[in-house]
Amino acid sequence: MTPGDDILLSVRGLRTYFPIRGGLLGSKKFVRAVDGVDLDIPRGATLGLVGESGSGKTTVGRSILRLVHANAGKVIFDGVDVLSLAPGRMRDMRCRMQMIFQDPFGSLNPRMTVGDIVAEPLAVHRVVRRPERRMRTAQLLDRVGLSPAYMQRYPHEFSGGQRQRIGIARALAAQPAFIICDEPVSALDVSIQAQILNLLKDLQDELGLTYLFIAHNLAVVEHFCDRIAVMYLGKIVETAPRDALYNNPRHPYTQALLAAAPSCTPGDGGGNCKRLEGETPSPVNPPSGCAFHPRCPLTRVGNELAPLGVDERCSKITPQLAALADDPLHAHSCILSRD
Amino acid sequence: MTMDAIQHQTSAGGAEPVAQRGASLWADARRRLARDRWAMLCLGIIAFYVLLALGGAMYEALAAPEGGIPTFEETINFDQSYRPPSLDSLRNLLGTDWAGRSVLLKTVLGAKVSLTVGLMSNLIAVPLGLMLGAAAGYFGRRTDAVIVWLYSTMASVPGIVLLIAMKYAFKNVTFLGLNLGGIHGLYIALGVTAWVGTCRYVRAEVMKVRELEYVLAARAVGRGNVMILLRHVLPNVLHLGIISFSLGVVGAITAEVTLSYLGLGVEVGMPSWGTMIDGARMELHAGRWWELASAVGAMFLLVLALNIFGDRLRDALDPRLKNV
Repeated sequence: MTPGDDILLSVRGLRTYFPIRGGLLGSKKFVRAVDGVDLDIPRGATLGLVGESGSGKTTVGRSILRLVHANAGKVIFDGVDVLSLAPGRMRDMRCRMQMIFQDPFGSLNPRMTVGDIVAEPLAVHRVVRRPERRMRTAQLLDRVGLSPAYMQRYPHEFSGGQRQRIGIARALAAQPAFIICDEPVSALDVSIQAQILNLLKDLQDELGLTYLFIAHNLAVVEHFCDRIAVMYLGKIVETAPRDALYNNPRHPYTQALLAAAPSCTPGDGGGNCKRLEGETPSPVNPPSGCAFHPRCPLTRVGNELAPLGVDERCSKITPQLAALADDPLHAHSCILSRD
Repeated sequence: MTMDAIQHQTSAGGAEPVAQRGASLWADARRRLARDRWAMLCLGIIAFYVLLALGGAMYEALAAPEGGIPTFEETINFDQSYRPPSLDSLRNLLGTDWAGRSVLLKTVLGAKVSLTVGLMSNLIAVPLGLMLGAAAGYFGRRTDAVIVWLYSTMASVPGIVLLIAMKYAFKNVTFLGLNLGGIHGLYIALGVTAWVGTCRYVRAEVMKVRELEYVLAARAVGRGNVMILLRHVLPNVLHLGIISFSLGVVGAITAEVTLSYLGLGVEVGMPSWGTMIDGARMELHAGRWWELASAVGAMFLLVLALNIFGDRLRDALDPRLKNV
């Protein structure tokens, strides 16, 4: 991000904790779903947010839209702090920020017709007056590649890809500037995935939309995003422009993620890929220092400072994101890969 | 090109006729229910009882003292006491009781009482359970704690004891001109005790629905809590209310019979299956079985039909069993 960029959405120090009750005495503990996340998305750009299941990427999206309560941090959208808006003004703000959901079966109310679903934002925000609503709904359906004749049908009569198109039409209805795509294609067949991605791309070009694209599929992200942020256990561990991240991943977690992605070349990878071992640690009790250190290959392999297995710096110091010396747009949080 | 793109093209081009109106889940459930023979048989039986009850109500409305049609009390004729069932006349088809009144007519009037009690008490209980359950499940926290405390307290007292206590408390109480000592008190007593089950089911289902993405989507669009509850949550748990209603009628009918048998149900002298069983139990050893048999038989058939229909209704309304 060069300083001259027009930043549409800026997130600073976002923290979202979910209280859980643990132990016999019911002492309160917290799932640190999002634990200090910073993001900047320039107008008209797409930021990809990737990470394993449970890394907190969906919660980041929901916190930005205030669908879950964020405990701390700032979300600046077009100069306005979204998290501190009064309910009435927040409602107006919702016109400008929308979301496309992951599950095409769970995200549409089964008791409402497609027309009513798509028209709901129009009704809430009075984008158009009632008589024009039908026409506007028909236009929206047409825009996402569905016949306006489907308006009277119910969601269960559609395929996954068609349902996702309905979800996109609903998001577009409010005429937003910014859309959070929460794994919009991960529940779809591969052939349908491409169609939906192309549709999202076309809409972006046509309407100048800004996307936060949440995904766990690196191949999808590679073709869709300008910039990518990698999340691990509620924190961003590496962020860089797409090409820099794919060609020169610095954080060992990013390297492991890229190595784990299936390759198109037969015989490539396989034997020499760095497989990640173990499970993601619990976000209730994240490991000390760098949260990745219990699984990190760098901290024990070929490191003379780690005779007992784990480099002390990794388990003691909480790392911060820092930009590379030769590339100010590329930042990561691995102490061992700093040099 | 994949299926949905092709479908779109053909339908947009008009080559394939597109139905203007899709089938809602309700219409779908109705269709499945209509194909279910057992459900339809039971519905027929229930409809038959409803007709009987309407007939009973019409008789009561038309009968006037000293008029053309004698009221039920006026048919007392001690010469006719304890006639066994016979095919001689409609009046004696199911025999006569101790006062020489027709047991058939008594049973029909009892059907009216039973169905009214079932209907009225559930008109109180089910909306109450739906509202409280939805509020508890949706808002959580304090609201939930209060409502759960309320129904746990209700559920911790044996139902029959609670009913008896309430009926005692209602004795000689009039409210809005209604005598709560009799059948009106019964509606209320059954209504305010029977919501617990509905409330539990609805609360659990709402907690599930609340987390679904379409509710999040509605919130993302800017809908407030009330509209989300009305438009998105309630329509998706309403089937639980309908199922509760159909099964709740059974509970109310048996409760009315139990309470009337104990002398705490309907007003003294009002014919109901409970008072019939109560009155007839002493006569069984004298070989006069018909009054007891009529009341029990009538109740058995209705309760069986309602139970089976309620089960089938649940299956039809459950989206998970859709393609079974």
